[in-house]
Amino acid sequence: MASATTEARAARRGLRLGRFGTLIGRRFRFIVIQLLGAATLAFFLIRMVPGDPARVLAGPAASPATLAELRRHLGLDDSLPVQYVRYLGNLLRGDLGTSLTTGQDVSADLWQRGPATLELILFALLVSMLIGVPLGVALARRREKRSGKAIFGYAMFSGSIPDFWLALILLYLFSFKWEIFPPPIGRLGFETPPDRITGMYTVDALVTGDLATFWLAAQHLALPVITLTLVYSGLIVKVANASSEQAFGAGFVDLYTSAGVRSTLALRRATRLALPPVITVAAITNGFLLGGAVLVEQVFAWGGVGQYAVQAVRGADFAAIQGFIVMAAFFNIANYLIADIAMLGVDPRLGRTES
Amino acid sequence: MSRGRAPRRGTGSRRRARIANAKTRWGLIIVAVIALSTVLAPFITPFGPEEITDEVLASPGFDQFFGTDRRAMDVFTRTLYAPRVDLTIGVIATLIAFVIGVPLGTVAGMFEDRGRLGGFASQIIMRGMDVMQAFPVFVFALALVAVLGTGATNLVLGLAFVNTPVFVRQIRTGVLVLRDEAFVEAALIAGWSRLRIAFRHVLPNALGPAASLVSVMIGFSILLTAGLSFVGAGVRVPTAEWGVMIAEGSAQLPTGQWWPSVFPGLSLALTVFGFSLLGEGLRESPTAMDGRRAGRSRRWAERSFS
Repeated sequence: MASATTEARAARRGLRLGRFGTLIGRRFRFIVIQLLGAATLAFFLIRMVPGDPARVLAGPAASPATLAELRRHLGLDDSLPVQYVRYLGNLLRGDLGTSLTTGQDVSADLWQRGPATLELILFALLVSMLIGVPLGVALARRREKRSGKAIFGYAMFSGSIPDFWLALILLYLFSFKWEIFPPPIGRLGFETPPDRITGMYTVDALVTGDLATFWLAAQHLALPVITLTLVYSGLIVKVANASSEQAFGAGFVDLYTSAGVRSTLALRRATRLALPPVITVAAITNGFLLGGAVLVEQVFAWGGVGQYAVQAVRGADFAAIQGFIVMAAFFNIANYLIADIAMLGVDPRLGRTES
Repeated sequence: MSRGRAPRRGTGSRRRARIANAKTRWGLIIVAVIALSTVLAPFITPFGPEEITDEVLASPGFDQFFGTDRRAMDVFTRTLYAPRVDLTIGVIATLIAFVIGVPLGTVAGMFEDRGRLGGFASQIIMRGMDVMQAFPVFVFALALVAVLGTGATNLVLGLAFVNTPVFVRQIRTGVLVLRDEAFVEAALIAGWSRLRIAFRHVLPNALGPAASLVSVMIGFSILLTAGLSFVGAGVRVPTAEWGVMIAEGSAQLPTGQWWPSVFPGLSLALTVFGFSLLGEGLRESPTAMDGRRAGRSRRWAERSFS
């Protein structure tokens, strides 16, 4: 009897894992198309630049011989399809061309600056979730109270705050005026960064046990992370609030309570039910954060890919712009993939109903 | 909408309607005040938006409420005039996105999995939107403006392009919900083409939520405009525009002159908030956006087939 039940359960689990697999497989096929599409769009976007790219690159004073040489070097003499195929080939090998402003490979530039931005975004997301989700859940219970109204009002207003402006205001108050946080000169001021393991200073400093550097890096991180959190956690509060309100009002919580089931169990089940929208909003926020980071990095001289992108736009550095947007799209797509996989773990219906 | 469901603690439909109406009202008031003050700006302030006044970096006072910036331009005057740039760009960009997005979304929704050609068109549209939305919005807008070149016109084009997928998706979802309604089947049986039904009867019913989205997206576009101008990828420097003003003023923050940056940012935030309040209010309102239109198509169906 008992073994029959376990067998049935094992079979069911196997079935679910199989469907889980096909779901992921189908998702990957979709992702390949999306990646290819994003790369293609980036390619044609840069080809939309009015005028001769060689002329743009070499400047107005270049001689015809230099122009011809540059054109040959860039492969601009070939037809568009040939250029496109070569571009895709280079992309697969991780070659994004050479930046005008730094003179380095764009991929090397991005690799060097990526961790700075990633550190900023991940910390901002982490803090936003840690604050936003409990606030949203708490809000569901105290909508009529004054504190609830205040939170709700802030959640509605926060999305309207320009992040770059808030960064400046916080900088003015907490750095220039009250000197609580360090001035906006990058991630560590003038100290030498820790040995690169992940490239994220706080993480690397912790791994190597260098607490002084960790503390310094955390201080420099504080203001940009607070800025991003204040602006982007409102959405998380709103979604967490709506989904927990729905989960707790779903009826089974009342049923559990009236049937005398432990209240922690009801809470756990309700939390699980409320999670999928929160995961989705985390992925969406992550995308927004990358855009926000571009602006906030500018204010704090952060030296990440965001600042690199702005520099590229100002210097008409099209290889760098192209490299950056391709990277941003890949980041975003990876982001949604992670969210989808997390969702599969949380919501058992996803694995079953799809065939 | 929620009448059929059992009422939950403190979230009755009447209460929700009251909140929605309050949002709409306050959103409208804010937007109206901003729009009026910028139209009437020449009568409110004695200075011109790029006029050099007497003192450089004068602190806020009775004559010049928001002080002056480092070029001795009056910050209050420039803040008042700024929506002429920001609001115009935001509104035009959003309307272009709306005009392009709505038909695309209608076709995509109406023909999804319906017929070979139509299904194909729908697939193409939606995969295109997927690709466009693979890029983070601000990053995409930044790249577009970098490629097209700075300036107001290119800003409008870039923002319109970035906003289009939002409307396509919204309309498609609405159309997908409605296309199996009885009045669509009735029209099909009567021999109408899918395309004609889509635009004549399905679209008007799906338009409500998209219209409320227009307001939200205007606010969002204004935010993007200011952000792009802030990093020098939008409107050029002496123009009275919030993002430019904030960027210009940021150089004075270390030395303690906060007013050239703070006031433009406040009005920018308030404006965006007004538009998002208005949009949210309209979306949540049970009466404002749907009802009448849906009634019309249903009545038409009843008249024609009874």
